Amino acid sequence: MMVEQNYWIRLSIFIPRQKWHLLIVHCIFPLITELQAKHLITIYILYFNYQQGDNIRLAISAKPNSISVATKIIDESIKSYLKETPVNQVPGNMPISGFFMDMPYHSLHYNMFCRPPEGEFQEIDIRYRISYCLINSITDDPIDYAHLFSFLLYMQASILEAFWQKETSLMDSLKNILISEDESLSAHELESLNLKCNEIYNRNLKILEVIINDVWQNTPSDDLRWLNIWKDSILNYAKKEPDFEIVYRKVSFLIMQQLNSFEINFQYITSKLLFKALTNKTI
Amino acid sequence: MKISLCTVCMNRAHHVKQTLKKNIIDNEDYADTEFIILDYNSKDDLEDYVRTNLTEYINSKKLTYYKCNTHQYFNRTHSRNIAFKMATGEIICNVDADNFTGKGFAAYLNELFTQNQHCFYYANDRSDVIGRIAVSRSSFYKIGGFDERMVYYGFEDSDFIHRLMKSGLKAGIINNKQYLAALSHSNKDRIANEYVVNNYYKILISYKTYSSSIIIILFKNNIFFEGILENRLNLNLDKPDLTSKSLQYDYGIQGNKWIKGTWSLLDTSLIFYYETNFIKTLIQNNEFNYKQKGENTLYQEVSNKVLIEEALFFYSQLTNRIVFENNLASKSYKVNNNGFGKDVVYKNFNSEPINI
Repeated sequence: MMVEQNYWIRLSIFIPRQKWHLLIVHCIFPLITELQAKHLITIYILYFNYQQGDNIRLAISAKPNSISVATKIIDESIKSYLKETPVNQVPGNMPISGFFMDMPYHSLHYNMFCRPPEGEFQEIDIRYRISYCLINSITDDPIDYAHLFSFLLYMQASILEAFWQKETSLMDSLKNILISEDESLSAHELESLNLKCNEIYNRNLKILEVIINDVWQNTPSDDLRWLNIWKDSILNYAKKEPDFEIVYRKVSFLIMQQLNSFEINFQYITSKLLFKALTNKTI
Repeated sequence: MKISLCTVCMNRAHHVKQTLKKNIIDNEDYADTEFIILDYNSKDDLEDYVRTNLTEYINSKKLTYYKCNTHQYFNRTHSRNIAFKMATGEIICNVDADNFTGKGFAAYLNELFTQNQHCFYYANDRSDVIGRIAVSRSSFYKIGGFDERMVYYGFEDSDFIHRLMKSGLKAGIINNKQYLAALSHSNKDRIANEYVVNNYYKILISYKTYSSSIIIILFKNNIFFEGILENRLNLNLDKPDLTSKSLQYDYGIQGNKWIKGTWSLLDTSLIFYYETNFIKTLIQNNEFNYKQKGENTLYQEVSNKVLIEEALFFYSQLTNRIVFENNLASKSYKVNNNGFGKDVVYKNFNSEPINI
């Protein structure tokens, strides 16, 4: 993919996080679909962000010959949505949570973050696939902690599934990842995290089983069709980078960056839950 | 060619336990290698660990353990200068306590320096290994070591690299990933042993615009530093900027300079005395909120732990960055004109002090 030749439009839409799902379902999703159908943009990357107030960041890549038209449509569409769906909520600046004052809600701003780094390991392409899955996973329900948690579990379980057949010692590899994470934690942190993991595991055993079944069956329900796209993407990366540990760590890190969760060790907890669930289950 | 691999450490025994012995074993293929570990007054079990687990390497002179008891807080540049001065190799390489050298790293360095002696080599691909810089002993002394005016975290490596280049050496990159693994840890860990983290009293912020704020960092010794913090990404928010140019630094301090002064507490008011004789009084409104006397300016105390860490990390980095930028602008590549790495150390658990 010749991403280098394209321009990046970088925009931040400030809106309370309780309304993010509506923004995505009713504005971003149709807008992106339309622009891609008209070949005005190539790929996009979506980030959840909280700097200077709740906002969704979008980096949209467009070819030089379509950039003006794409920019005009994007600007008009988002501003029109913001105008039609005002909120009364104002950003709260107390207690202080950032170096700079919060932006007003229902505003659109450009250039507040850098263009996505090229990185290595097809980073931009992976970010695009993550964004695609994220946008498609969102429904009319607010994006809460449970949603992000399930999303991360589905995404990580899919990486495991992609490597399941060809790597016989996959669970050992996952265990290695967890051991190295354990070693970076203090004894106290490790103890409290393990307690938390056990508690979440026991409380969500059935949900974990559903997630694993969804991922391992090849015919996901309509609302999980994005999973097949993700699994195909992972299989493609696996052809170029066959080392499970590298793929799992790198991709999990990129997902976490885009979700921008404040939960410390979020990814560690989901990995541990998957390890426990898969160890106790015959697939 | 003798290669010295130097590690400095304050309270990072948990890292050293994972890396040092493995690094020694991984470099056994190159006999002319020495490992130097400088224990910069660690209060954890680093000394016990080395004494109990690494004595065979000390006896075989593969490893030398130095202890410096002088300092309460970590100083990256000073500690590295000591370790480099204690090294006896012709080539000296810094290996951070959380770094793995990988198998055959010393042999690889020997090969690089044999091919081109007018070079130095560094890793530039990841922040965790950015401190991996290998240089000849003579070049290290020629540029005056690491700049000891940089007392905090950040930019000391970039500064060292730029001054080596300015001195006429060519830069080579260590890009083979087998030599560049590292344990991951947070920014909080990186500066946990520094003066700033252990001696700040309060941090106050006053919002001015969407892209600028006044920040004041008060220290327990009644010194404060104030600056106008700028978010340089926020200067053009209305239209897409399609150029791919990137800013050198997203955040900065107006004028690239901290304003210094002293502060005192009078009842619940904070009084700031500037070097220009200006006095500013902040009257406390409530627990985390102050109003400037005679002005409408509001200051808020930062209570959010994450933001406090970010502010201290930023202060630490920016203070070093200012020295780095001044060195970049200077014609000279030599620093520390009055000497560097001066201290008293103890070798291999001996009680005999060595003045360096």
